[in-house]
Amino acid sequence: MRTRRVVAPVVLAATLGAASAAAHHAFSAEFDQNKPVNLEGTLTKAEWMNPHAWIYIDVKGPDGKVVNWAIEMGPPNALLRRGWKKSSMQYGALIKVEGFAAKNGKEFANATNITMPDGTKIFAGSDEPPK
Amino acid sequence: MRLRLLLFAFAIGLLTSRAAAQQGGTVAPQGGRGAAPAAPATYPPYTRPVSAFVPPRTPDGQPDISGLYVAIPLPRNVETPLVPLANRAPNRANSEFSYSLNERPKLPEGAMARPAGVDPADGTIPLTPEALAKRKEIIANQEKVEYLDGRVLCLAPGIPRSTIPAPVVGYQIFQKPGYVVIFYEQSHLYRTIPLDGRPALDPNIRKAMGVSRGHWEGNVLVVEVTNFTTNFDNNWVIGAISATPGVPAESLATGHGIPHSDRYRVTERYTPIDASTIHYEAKISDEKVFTQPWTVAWYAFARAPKDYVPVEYACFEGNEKNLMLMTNTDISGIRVSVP
Amino acid sequence: MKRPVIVTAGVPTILLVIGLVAAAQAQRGANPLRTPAAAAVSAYNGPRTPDGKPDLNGIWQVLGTAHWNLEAHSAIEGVPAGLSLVEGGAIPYQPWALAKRNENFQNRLTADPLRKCYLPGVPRATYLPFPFEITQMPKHIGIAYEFAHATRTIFLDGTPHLEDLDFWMGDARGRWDGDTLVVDTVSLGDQTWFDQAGNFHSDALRVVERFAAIDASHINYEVTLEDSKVFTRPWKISMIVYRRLEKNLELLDYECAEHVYQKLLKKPGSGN
Repeated sequence: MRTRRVVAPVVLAATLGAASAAAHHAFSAEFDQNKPVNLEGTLTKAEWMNPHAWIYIDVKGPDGKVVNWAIEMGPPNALLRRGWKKSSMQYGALIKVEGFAAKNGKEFANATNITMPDGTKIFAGSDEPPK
Repeated sequence: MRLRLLLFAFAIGLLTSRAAAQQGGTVAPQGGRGAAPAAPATYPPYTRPVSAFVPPRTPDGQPDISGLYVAIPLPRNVETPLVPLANRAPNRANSEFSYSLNERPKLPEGAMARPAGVDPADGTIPLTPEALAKRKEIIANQEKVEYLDGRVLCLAPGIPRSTIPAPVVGYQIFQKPGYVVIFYEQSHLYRTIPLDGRPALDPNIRKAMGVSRGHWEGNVLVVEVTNFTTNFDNNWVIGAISATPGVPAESLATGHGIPHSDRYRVTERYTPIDASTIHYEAKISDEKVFTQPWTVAWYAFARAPKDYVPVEYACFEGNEKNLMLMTNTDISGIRVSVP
Repeated sequence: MKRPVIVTAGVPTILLVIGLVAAAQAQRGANPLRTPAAAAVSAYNGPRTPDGKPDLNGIWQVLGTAHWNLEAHSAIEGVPAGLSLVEGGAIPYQPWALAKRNENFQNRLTADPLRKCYLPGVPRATYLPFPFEITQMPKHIGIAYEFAHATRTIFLDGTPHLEDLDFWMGDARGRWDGDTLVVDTVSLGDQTWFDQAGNFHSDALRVVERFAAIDASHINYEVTLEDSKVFTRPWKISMIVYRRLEKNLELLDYECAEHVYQKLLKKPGSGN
């Protein structure tokens, strides 16, 4: 699979976990902040459900083998309040994901940023984490 | 080395508990990014808010508190830990589109920002030694499904935990003759609170959200809640944010890891402060868990902005992958009989 | 609540009533042979809310066999026989969808989402064998269901639908049409069934429910279902919703998710 293991380019909030107030569950229960990933793939499925929306992308590795990754996003309530709807995601669209991989080593990741085919970055803006 | 530091801090902490708590930085306010202003060393004794606000009346004469609300973030932690954490590794917050909204409501004018635990006054939770031992065991085993936080399992968080702020989601209060009905956006929970003084139910009837009996004292809604389910020890009485792996029970500031017994009961008070704010107090009693009743209070409800739309939050349906990632448990093949 | 008034009707009144009902049914294009008996009363004379609407506050429940199978069926083990709730008898599936429904039926013990404790969707939530509670205010009606503590909020405040989304219980907007509450629900996704027999839909489903108050204790519940991906045309079901009259009744828990975890952890059902 094609992932570049880079140091996460943004320094994320270090407020003792408080920024994700009342999160359904702890990020660190599922994902590893020491395993950042950058993925690029075509969208195969989108699940609009609480507690977290999930998208699935086919990522082609350097060996040509295609692997399907499951990407965890925020809850649909939060996505909706940022204008996100079902048709915001087109099947077959090329999506870029910056995030962190699952602790269990399987093809799951939590997304920090999603970049759409036209270059729009989802959820960037006034809620940018401090640098 | 760190363990010795912690033990030393604990010894000092026994003598000057509150000062130690401040130094550890464990009372960082929840819900905001970046550094917080330093919390005061002591808080004045808790007094119930007194408000001159007179709500309008419903057709059947109740103070009218109906409407859509969003949660006001907790300004401080739930509890003051027994052993402050000297150095907590930064926990990367969940992604920015998870729960952090800039448009969160603020505390009302003049309201004091204080920890949610108001009695006992030192901010600790008055647990029995058995309950503390159980808490340690629970918190140390969060990667096992049988210990996992019930809210993360999408079990009902009960009372008062369902009123712990989750900023993305809100509440709807309905009123009809003889009842107050509360819909909780998170996990589509609800309570119907009869006001006619009918008795509580047979002890064999148990509900995850308890059985509620309410009455108005002036403009304050007082609700006695009993008959709570005890099927699982995962249904903790309270818990803000999520239990962060690696933080031991004695250093928690979040209230996690405290299941209740069949003796559990809660007295709630909902006080309208102004047209936009309701203050919430819950007095928790359970002789098998607490050495004395434990009271929590916070400003809980803010009128939702005009364009706010409550959105379905169907927790259990979408939780299978999360459960797999957290505990390596696969429930996708389980089927149950239904009538 | 006022006791319902019992009207003793003379023959001319009965003829007038039947005539009015037949005209109304003809107007709506309904099959006049399928008039539910209780709909013969044309005027609601039960209690009203301060804003003049039939007072639907309280606990209600449907009797009958809809939750097993909306279509006519003979008994099988554990399932009583039932007449069809569907106007015209059969659900008008497209050919591929009929095959899919039959496959669902064969696999129902594993494929029925209700057996995974998923939310029942609309209109299945109405006719599950569990009570539900209506809380009625002028701009919002809340419906709480005992099964899996499902809820719906019906907005009567003129706000638009939330479309292009997937909700298990959909997005509901309502209005009063005389003494009938009309509820329009979209954004229902495609994950729910209509009954235990595998009757299903796509995410194009639109449900229009008419809660026609008959008297203080009965609602004539008529539902139009529209889904051009699955059915050849819109279709209707209708049934009676009964008020639960027991004193001090309240919704109890059916915390289905607990049953799943009890099975997972092999805990005995505690009966609590």
